Amino acid sequence: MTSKKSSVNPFRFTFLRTCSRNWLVPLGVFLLTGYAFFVCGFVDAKRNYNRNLTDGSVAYYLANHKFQLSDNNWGGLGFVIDLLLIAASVVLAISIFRYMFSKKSVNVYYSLGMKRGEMFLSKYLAGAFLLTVSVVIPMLADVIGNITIFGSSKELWISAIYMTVCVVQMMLYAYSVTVLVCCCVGTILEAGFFGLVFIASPIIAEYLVSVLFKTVLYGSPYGGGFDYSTMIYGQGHYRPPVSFTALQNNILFFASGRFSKYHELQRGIEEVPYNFKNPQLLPVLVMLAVIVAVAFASYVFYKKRKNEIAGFLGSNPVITGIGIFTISAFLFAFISRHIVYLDHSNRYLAFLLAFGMIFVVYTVIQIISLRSIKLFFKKFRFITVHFALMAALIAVFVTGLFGYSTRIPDKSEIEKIAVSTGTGDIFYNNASSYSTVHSFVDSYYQGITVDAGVKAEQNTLYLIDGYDSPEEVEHILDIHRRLIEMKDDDFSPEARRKSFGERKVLSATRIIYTLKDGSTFDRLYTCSDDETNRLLSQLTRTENYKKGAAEELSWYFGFKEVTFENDEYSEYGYLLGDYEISVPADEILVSIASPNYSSLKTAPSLNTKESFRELYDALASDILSGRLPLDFNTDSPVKGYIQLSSYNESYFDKPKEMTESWHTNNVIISIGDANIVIPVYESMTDTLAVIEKHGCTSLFENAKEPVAVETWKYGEKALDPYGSIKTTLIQGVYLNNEGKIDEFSTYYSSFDENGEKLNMVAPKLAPDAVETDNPIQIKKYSDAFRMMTLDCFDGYYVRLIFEDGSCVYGYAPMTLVE
Amino acid sequence: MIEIKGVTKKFGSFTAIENLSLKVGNGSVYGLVGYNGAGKTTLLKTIMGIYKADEGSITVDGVETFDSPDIKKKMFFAPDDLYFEPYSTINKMAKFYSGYYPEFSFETLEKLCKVFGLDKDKRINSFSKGMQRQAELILAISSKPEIILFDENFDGLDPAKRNLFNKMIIEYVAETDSSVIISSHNLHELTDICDHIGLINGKRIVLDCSVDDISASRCKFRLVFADEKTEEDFKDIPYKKFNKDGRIITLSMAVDAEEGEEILRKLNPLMIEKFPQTLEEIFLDEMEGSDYDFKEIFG
Repeated sequence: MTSKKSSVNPFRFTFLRTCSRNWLVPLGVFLLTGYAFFVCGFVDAKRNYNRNLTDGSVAYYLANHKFQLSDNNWGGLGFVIDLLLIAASVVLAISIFRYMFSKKSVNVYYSLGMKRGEMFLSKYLAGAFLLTVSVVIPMLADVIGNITIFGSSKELWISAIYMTVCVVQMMLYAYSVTVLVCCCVGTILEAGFFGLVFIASPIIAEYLVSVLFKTVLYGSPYGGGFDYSTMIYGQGHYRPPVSFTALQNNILFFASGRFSKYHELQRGIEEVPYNFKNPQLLPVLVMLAVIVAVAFASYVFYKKRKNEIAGFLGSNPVITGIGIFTISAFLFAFISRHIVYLDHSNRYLAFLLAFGMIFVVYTVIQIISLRSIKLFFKKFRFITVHFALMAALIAVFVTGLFGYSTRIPDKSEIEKIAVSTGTGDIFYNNASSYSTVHSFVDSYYQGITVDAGVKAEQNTLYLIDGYDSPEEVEHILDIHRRLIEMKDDDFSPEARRKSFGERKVLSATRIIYTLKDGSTFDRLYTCSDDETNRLLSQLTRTENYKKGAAEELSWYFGFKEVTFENDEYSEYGYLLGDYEISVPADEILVSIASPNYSSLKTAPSLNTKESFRELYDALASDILSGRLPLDFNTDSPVKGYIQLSSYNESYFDKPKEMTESWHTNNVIISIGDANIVIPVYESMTDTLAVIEKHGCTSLFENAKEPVAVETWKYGEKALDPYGSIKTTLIQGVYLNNEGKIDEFSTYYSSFDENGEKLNMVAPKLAPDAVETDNPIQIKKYSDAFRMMTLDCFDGYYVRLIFEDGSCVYGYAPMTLVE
Repeated sequence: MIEIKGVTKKFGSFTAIENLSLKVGNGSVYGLVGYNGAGKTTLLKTIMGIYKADEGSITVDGVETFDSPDIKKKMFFAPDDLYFEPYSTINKMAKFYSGYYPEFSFETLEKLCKVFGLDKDKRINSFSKGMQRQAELILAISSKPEIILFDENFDGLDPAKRNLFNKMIIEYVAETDSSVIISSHNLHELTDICDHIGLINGKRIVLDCSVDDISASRCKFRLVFADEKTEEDFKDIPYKKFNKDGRIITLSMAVDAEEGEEILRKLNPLMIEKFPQTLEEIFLDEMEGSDYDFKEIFG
């Protein structure tokens, strides 16, 4: 017998064989990335180039583009492509390592003359190689195509390498995690299922902590859904510190549009330099470290694998346990946040919810994996481990995160404080319809950003910064102490329906201390009481507030352009690209309303840039002189209102005409996304002088007087007075010919008599509201009628009903009615 | 030389083999016998390094087999559960094994396929179970290993093919001085081929000796007495198995025939006959507590 002698290299042989037998998935990846890069990049650029060629503007096109490697969001399929690439990585991992799940194949592969570690590495590297190649080739073709159009540039290569590395890393992360799970479990079913769960685990962990920060941690500003405004721009949308982990995860920052800078480089005007900044290396390095760590762990587990588990479900109780906990945590967080609306007032419900989720997930997964009810009950005691872990985690947050909820900086540490009045002022008025944690607003013109597929709320809470005098600091510290003392108070609907002064209210207060060491100390409270709100309202009488208010007002007049710190935002990955907010003066509309709002007309002579300046100066002067009570706390008769609206042709065809004819047609009282209503009192001499000078005084006259009035006292019955009704009245109301309020996109929530939550679109007075046509009563409420009032004061909701059936909603402060 | 010392393998709380030891020399065909579930497959997989022993050591020429590529390149495990790559042919599987076995011989493969009448370019999954077994055995021999572990591989082979394989293995061992372990619960399969037998029972090896030695050291006797005897009367006789039918007593002893006869003569039987024991009888003798009294069970 003769034999063919040969030298074998099992490592190389296994590597090549794995590549040759697993080409289908990489081919799919190749086609996907071919579309994402080559088609959305070079092919699209070539199309644009040819289009420009035909109209002769090719020189302009070339002069203003440095490259185009892809489009903004991979042709609008970015998220889908991400998911498909991750799914492909999972499938490839399972395909390569599937021999571990069958006793038959285990017998063959583990008897081969290779060390286990070598076998693992050859197979793992083959998969990684396939994934890498299937991304690199399309990108290389894309780069070469770009060079043929735009020429080579450093920016092109940096962007191409960065994007390639990030896409490859995303897939390698998913691939490696799945391989790790494959090494620990006995069946394909578990490998696929737990692989996906483990891939999502960093996202779930971040989400869980965010939700706990938001829902049950008293005083936490993180994830509170509040921006705070112009005086301290740039620190707007807060996320818990754990978000850092998300930022370093390519899966997550993919979704946040991190590539928006690098997919193409263009400029609007030829003379303007290209705005290109090198991508950050830290996330890439962190992700690389994570992938290497996961791969190493897989290597170790592969070497130690007990082959007897092949083909057996539930053979690794640790993996099953982590999977159960992760899924339970996600369901708990999701349901807490989006279905049960957990908050501090019902924080103990968190335990019940979490245990419920654990019970359900544990039962389902264990019954499937054990496939024996008897065994399930025998092992049921292990559910207590899940209960204990989850309870410990929730308890940490519910009890105040190791003193986080009760800590107040020492007076000597404080340099200055920013605080929202939280109670109602001209700025708060602008956006306070979202003032409680119970307001889940989805207003279409609010900036909605996406972070890892989680919708981020972006509501606005206005803070005035710069309180630094000892009196102001002490006053704010007092308020802060009061808010902390309320930590364990009852904020149930019943508690909020008590009489004025005894009730609890849902209103947002944010306090940010800038400490002398440069750090900030930030807290947000969404519960309060009348006395605390009264103390807060006193801040509006300080010089600091008046100064801040006057400065803030300039933004509404278009004198101040507010620009987000682009880099800061994009670094955190919450905003899809760079943008700025500014209100061009020619888009501002100045209107004047009568005291009962039966007349609201544009003031043409005030709608010029010069008259804006005059009007602003006059208002600023009145504010700074204390002639405009910013908390509306005055007995002085109101002369009428100045309304500033920013309108946009894309929203409304003929806003001016609509505004002028509001009382006869279906009209919008306020238009656009930047409106403010400023009451004008008789004491505001400077403002009244400017209005007089421009011949607009007559616009303060009511067009008609009410023939009936309907009133309803705050907080007594069905509707919660702090359910944002106040500003809804001002901000977005359609009135039709029948005087009914049509739906508008501003939602608010409140509670009915049973404590059931109501999400509503327009204010409705309760069924037990009192309607009268008694002339004395009509006069009483008409005289007291205000379009805005302060939350912390007592009073009535009022509906003025006119003869033609139209009506206006407003308020009558108790002090004025009495 | 394969040397197994005090090997224990547990699956969770279940112990499959416990403190098991045996040696298999070069040029030896070792038959591993035991009932179903006795631990034969577990032992073979542990020898091959598929399972890691919880205790004890398994060495080949003094080197641990677990995760030792140099040793495993010289070993081939032909499992009971056949595995071939999806859609593979004998040729494709040969290419697969040739990547891991340096001595793999396509020439041997070619010849063996002709001998056994197998088409090496035909998909293996279209073969009958017996043909798939033949393919497995051909691939094993073609890999030219120094140690082959056959796990009940002769099930499903027709007598002619089995005979052919027996000859092939004997020839291969003689020519290459290799070691072969064949596990089976069927002693008939092993008597013609093995020179050594290991009997595994109760998680341990209870019998480990050469076939020639065991045949010489075991004997069965039939005795007839004038009066009726009970088992109590034989309490001083070192018998393995005792059977009584009236005045006729049948018993087996782990001694050679002459020595056994001499012992039994002391009891003054009317007649004494001696017979050599078959391997199967020895196997059954060694199975402690497995000789059920079904009358008791169903009565």
